[in-house]
Amino acid sequence: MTSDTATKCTVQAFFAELFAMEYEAAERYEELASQMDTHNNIAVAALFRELAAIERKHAVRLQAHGQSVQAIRPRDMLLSRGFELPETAPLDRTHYLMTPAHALALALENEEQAARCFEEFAISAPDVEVRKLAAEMAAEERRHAALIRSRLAKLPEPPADWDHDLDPPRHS
Amino acid sequence: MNLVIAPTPLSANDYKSDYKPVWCPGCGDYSVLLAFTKAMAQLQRPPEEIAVVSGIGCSSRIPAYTNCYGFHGVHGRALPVGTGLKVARPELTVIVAGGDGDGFSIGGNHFLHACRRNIDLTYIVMDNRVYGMTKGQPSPTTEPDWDSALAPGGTGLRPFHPLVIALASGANFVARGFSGDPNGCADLIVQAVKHPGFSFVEILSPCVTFRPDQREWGKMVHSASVNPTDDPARAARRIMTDDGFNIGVLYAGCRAPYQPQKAASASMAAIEAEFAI
Repeated sequence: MTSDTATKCTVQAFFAELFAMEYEAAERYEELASQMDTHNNIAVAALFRELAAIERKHAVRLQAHGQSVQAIRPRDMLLSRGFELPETAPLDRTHYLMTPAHALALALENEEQAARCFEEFAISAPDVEVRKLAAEMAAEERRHAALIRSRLAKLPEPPADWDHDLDPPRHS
Repeated sequence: MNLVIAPTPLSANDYKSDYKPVWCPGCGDYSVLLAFTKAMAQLQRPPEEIAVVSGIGCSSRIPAYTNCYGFHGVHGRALPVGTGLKVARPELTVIVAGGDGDGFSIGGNHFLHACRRNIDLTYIVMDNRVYGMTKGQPSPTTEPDWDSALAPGGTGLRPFHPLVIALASGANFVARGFSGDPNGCADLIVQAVKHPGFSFVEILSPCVTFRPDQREWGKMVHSASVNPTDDPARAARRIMTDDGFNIGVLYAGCRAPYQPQKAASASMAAIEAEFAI
């Protein structure tokens, strides 16, 4: 965390970041669901949509703290780890033939990344209330990760040739 | 009592159309679309005051996916259309968008002259160094040793360097972004639109289908460690010597944009009189 972000790290600012994180995660899963719809990957589309609904529920819960979508500019605290907020699925990690197991593995990475981010905050944030809140969030993200992991364990491993397309876009 | 209701600010979703993109999942162009909508929301320009003009190619589908006015034009000719539109309707925010093949090969000459004219518009090129729509031929920006079924052993040709050429041709704003950083790209687009004159934004936008090696770009890009300069010579040195993965604003010049007078310089009768036999 930079000294600049540290000075802005109030409880209210932290809630704003949390809301932005959940909102963007929901939007991104919705976007990925839409991409999978277009490519007729119905099972993965349904899974991404389910993940979007869960993240949206988290965002609505945080909205009770008075945050509005337009007021958020998530460029400070949580963004310091990479290009996007820690729970936002990267757009370049999808494939039109991906399986539900791939989608859950991606969601697991996102939850674990968010947990690591909050764990760091729980140690380094200057405000004691933010540290407490971050620790709670870290525990919650770890719970989500465990839920996804148990669901992932019930799915069959993707076959080795999961991306084999009988009518591929590539010339060979 | 007159009740004054404050208008609701426009959000990124207000700039999206109902058409769903048909790009391959994983394509960088999804991020560019997201960056574009975020940028327009930051600028708060109503969609009807924005025109998105494109040529042909995967990335040139972008106007259909926005809620702004759009023109999906002829291959390589997006810049002439955008130029004409901006000259005729200077009050519009004109964004021209497309790919590296459309912009630097088929439209290469238009690119030079659009930079030179310095009309106040923004040109976004989604550069994936390949012709994706036509199944993976090398483009002007493809590395010389990129070995593929359609170019065995690579082309062996020196790649086109869009940023240097834009600078040398007179573009007034030169930036490079990476699609994996949609927030950063949105910032670059905002700065490009606000900067007077011809603004060129190259966005490295991987084609995961024909260039799966480009998935590594996320690990290679890095922020430009220096502030933008208004000195073209200094900018040229920086751009010529960087590794091609330096992202940020690299040049912000102060050349006045070209905007011809809209008013007719002669009456129709006077023109007809010149041709009278």
